[in-house]
Amino acid sequence: MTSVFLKVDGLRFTYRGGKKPALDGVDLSVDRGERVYVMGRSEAGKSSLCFSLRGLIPECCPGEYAGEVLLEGKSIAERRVRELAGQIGIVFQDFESQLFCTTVELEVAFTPQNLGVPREEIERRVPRCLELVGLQGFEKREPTTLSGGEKQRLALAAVLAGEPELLILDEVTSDLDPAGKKDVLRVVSSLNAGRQTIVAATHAHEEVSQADSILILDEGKVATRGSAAEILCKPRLMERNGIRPREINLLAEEAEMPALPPEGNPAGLFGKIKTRFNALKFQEILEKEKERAGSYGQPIIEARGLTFCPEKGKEIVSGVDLSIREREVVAIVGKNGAGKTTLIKHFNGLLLPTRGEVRVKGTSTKKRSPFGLCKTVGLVFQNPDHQIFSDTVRKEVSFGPKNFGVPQTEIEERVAEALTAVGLKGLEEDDPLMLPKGGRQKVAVASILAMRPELLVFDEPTTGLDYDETVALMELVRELNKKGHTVVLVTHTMWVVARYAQRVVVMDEGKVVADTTPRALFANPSLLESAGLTAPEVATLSNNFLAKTLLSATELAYCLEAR
Amino acid sequence: MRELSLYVNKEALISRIDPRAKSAATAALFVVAMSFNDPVYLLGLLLFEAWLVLASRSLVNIKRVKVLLGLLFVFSAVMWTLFLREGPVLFRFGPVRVRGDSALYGLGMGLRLVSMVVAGLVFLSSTMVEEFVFALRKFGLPLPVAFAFSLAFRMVSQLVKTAGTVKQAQQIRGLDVDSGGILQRIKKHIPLLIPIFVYSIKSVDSLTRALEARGFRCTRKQTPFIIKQMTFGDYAVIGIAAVAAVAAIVLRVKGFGEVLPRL
Repeated sequence: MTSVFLKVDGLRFTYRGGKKPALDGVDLSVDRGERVYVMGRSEAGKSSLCFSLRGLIPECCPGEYAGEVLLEGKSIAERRVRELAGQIGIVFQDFESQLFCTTVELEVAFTPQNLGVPREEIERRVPRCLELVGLQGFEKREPTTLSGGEKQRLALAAVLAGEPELLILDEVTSDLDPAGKKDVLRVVSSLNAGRQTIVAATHAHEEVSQADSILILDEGKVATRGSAAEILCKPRLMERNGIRPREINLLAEEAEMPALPPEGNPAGLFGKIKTRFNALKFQEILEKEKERAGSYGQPIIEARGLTFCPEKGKEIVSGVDLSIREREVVAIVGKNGAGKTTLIKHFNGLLLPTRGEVRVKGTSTKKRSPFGLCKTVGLVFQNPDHQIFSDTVRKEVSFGPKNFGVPQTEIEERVAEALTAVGLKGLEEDDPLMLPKGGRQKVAVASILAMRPELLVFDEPTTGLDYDETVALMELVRELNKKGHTVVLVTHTMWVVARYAQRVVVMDEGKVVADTTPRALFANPSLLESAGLTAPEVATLSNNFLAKTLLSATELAYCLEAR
Repeated sequence: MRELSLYVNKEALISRIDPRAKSAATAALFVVAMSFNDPVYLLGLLLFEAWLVLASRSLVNIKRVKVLLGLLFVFSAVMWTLFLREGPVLFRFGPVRVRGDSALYGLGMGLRLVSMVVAGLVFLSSTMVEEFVFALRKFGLPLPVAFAFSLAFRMVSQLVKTAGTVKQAQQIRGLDVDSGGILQRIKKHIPLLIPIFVYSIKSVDSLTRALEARGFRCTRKQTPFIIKQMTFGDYAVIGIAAVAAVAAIVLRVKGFGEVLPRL
């Protein structure tokens, strides 16, 4: 019988000033070499559990604490956080905040330096850890020059250099592009020949297939625990807990077939789907798409030969030709650093082209100020915390119209309209900074909507949101588009592209490498590969088994004959 | 986002000098700059620094701040020329009188400021923050103070990035901080300051957690990873720097290198 390596007993924690407990009687046991993935909606307690296992709660986060965390039978509360660095390592979601040094090599050496490891041993550990994460050859590089995925792998190497027995990963792939995610997951799964003890928090089911067990938290309590096969085969349970289910298992439910475990062969399921697949219905979808493509209005944004180089010889956007027409929903995708955010900042004049031109409704951005352009183009930044400053939601949302000199009665009308659109009606007097991330994101959207722009540009709006919050936000985007808004969306989330975008622009190294439909993109494996993108599971499987690209389980279910 | 770090990761001649020697040499350059107010002497110093810029391959950083350097020089030269009343009047523009000594002193002050900024830039371009911390530790500064320096470099860079993003986020909602009276302008900065403040507090919180989690403690001795041995060349740099600093002071005391008897 294996002894319990990590034991959590009746863990309760309420943050100072918190209305309800973040953790409410959590029990957990982890064996040595086991990989436990913690899932659940935002604010379910995943990060709080990670912090507690590392001792950061309660030492660095004040609040009411009860219960116990035992590592090999000893309470971790008896030791300081810093003393545990050689035994428990933690990698955080935000890779920027955990890198301190000027070179990759020094970053990896930092943990063992702090632990007092002899220099000769540090010199052995640094190359070993860099090799583990695939960063050999990067020793003298500055961490700031690395891509997001590389930074996160560096953060992992830096923690591994302390040789921790327990590794905690707190949503480490949330901010990464698909290629970066893939790299980090590959490294994690190979650690210690697959036997590194890991507790990892995540939103994404794609990351948990190699878990020994999955723990689902809900409002700080353990909702359920089971093997990866068991949990992933229960799509409704996942949905109920704010986790995006495997769409393939929603389909299995539709086809009255048993759910497909992570390593299961989908041939049987698709064999059955094939017998019920109605090609005419699929044709109908394609016809509708064609019809919609012909219904778009005049160009609202026209970029011609757009090049942006802040320094000589450093082109961030290079020779981009792009036209966005009224009522389109366009997704802009590509790796971190491909130039997506820089491109969209040209749409409202925040940046001006070094060469070429951007026209908004026929007028060059060089001839209009951002102040004038923001009545036409509204940009919702990735992080709502970069704009929220008011003490009430109402004041925050009315800030834009007020600056434009809109009369008070009309401001009130606009605020009410914007808050209704984002589903925040009734929260006018709440403090926006106290809302959860999804709520703050909605406040940011409402504050842009209140300016009634024709084009709405969203910069990675779903980062850090759980499934429910993402769906709520994207349904809002769909509604706004139905009401006549044109939408541009920068995103790394491919299922969002598949489900909500009508057109997709793929960027790589500052250039537009494809301008197509999501269906054509997900039918093109070589383009996906070269742009570091991954097709959603349903698209890949329908390509393989039906020789047609279906974008979602809902779309595929629509094409099935009724029984 | 544009990178804000100044360190030029190149195997330049000056990068190889021990950070202690470089710190001493930079301090000596400051002393020399402060010793003279004659623009001819300060121009000589600036020419020597131009060679240092090339030797440290830090021209890229000088180009980054060329506008600031230009402004410092022009502003200082003009202000001293206009407001210092020393020496005979050379010519007049309406009510403005330009005096020869004041103009020379103004030029000197402009060159002094520029030469001090350039000396600092050469140091930062050729020295990693960790090397600087190493030097400070060797000079006897306690670890928390020396480490705080390295964090300050990092935080300032992050703060500038955050401020840029916040400014853009508010600008597109119609915030115009450049119009109106002084009080109005101050009030208009609130939408910028609150998000920057809140974001910075959150960043510091994350940073503290990350530092704790990586086992950092101020009281315990860290294993040194960067070990620099002073070579003959390093001692020579310190020696030359010390001689230059003392010589500059002696020359000034003897009345060389001054257009006016003031600092």
